Amino acid sequence: MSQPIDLNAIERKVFSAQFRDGLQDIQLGLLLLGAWFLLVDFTGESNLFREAMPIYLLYCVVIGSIPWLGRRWITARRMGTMKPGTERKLKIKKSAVILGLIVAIQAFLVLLQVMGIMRLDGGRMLFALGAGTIVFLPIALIAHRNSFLRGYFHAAAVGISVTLIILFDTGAPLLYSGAVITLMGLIIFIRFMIQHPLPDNHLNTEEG
Amino acid sequence: MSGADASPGGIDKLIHEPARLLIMSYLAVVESADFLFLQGQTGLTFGNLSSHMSRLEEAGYLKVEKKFVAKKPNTILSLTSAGRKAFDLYRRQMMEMLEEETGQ
Repeated sequence: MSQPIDLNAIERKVFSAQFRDGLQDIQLGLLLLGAWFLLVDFTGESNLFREAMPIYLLYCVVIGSIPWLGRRWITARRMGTMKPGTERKLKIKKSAVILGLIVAIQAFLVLLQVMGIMRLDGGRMLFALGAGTIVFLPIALIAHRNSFLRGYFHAAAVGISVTLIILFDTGAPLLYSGAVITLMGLIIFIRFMIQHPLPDNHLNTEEG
Repeated sequence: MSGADASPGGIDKLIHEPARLLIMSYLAVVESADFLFLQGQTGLTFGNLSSHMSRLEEAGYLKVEKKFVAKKPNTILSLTSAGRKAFDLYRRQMMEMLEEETGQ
């Protein structure tokens, strides 16, 4: 053993502890389920949500606040809170920059595709795989940078779903992956609530 | 300032105690953490963490900040610069000792 105390491992454990309440999973799962409602439209299964994009964006804002609100009012009282160290803060900033670049490149590619400037040769299969990979990468990157292991499963589920949607022209894969991830999050959340009851004095302190 | 004991080998005995070493290690990787979070992460009991926290605070290694959040008291813990320096020194010394051991 060359290092008596592995601070990197401790830091990863401390930072990833914030994901043990399952709220992140519930958020992503519900976002996917919401997206499925939209996909139902463009895959031709239903026209119910034809103009749904503004509603979906509003939905994203509401659902996006679940982890923040949930931690603020429910889980932080049970597991406490911490402020990350300087190295982690720097890592978060770098991740945001990298993620921003990836999203910008993705948006640019989609724009080229929509405008007909760029056409992918190689057929539907290649396009489906490319789209799946493009969606997989940022989610996997977030998982990696946040030391959030379940995030890799999320990335794989979303990437595969997007690939299957394009290949088979159906929104069903998003429904399934959204439902599985939401259910997983709910189970983790309930387990968390059972394992972390409110402290007897409801205090977050060493004084009773 | 620092009321830490030093053993003949120069190792800070205050930090060397397992529970306090755990507390110092966890606080070294964050800017600050509250009592409940630290208790959950270290697995120490309420009383145990509280008493070790007091020892580290007396030594000037730990800053304890008490405030109210939603009318409930909240204790925020963080390492002082003296605490970070002492912890870094402790790690270096332990590393050197282990390297000497493995080198023999």
